[in-house]
Amino acid sequence: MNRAVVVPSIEVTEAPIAAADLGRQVACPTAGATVTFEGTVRNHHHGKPVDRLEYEAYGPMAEAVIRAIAEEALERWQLEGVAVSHRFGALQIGDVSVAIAVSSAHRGEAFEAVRMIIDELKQRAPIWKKETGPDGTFWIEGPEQIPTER
Amino acid sequence: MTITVRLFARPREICGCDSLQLQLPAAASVRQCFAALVAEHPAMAPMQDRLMAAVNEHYADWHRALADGDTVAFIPPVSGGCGSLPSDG
Repeated sequence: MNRAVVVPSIEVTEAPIAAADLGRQVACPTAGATVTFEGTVRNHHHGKPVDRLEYEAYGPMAEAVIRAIAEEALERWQLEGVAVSHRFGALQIGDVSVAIAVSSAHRGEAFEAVRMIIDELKQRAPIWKKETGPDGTFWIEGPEQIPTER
Repeated sequence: MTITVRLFARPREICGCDSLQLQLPAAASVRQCFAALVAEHPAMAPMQDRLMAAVNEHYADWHRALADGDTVAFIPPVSGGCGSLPSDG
């Protein structure tokens, strides 16, 4: 069967995002599965309460890194569509910070690709998280929480 | 040559700006660029070991030779670098 070249849809945005929107983007007649993922703002980190969170992104580079990760997924699995959105700016508890949708002919590929994309994105995309709770405001640098300068 | 340095997150707060320009000798490396940044913002010195470098929006080696007009970013650890911790979402 002839396959169209799949072009990933990548967005780093300050506007609200939803995996359901991305799911509709990647839907197509050749797909038998669409897997979506949402990362949401959690009210705790390492056992401490979190009241709100701010994401800062190196926008153009983050989009390029996420696009490269999506292309790696397309090389590894036979996928029908890939869409990834990441938010930046001030977010509240429960807000969606990252959304992913992958469609494929069969479900296995889509599940594996979504898992790989979120894991790689969190390691590689230049996007930083600043958490505010009762103890103050902290930059999250890998496993460390570091108080902000101001 | 003129190099633009982009700063994000904690380095941005330490330097008090999100972008600055440095004058460097031709073919200076990313490492020399960081040294020039530290000369202007000494508080950045302790961060060096935890930073990654990017040149023109791609991760780059610290030995990379820069060209006039390049944009260098010094990138602190990203939030999801703790994937092995059980509490990481």
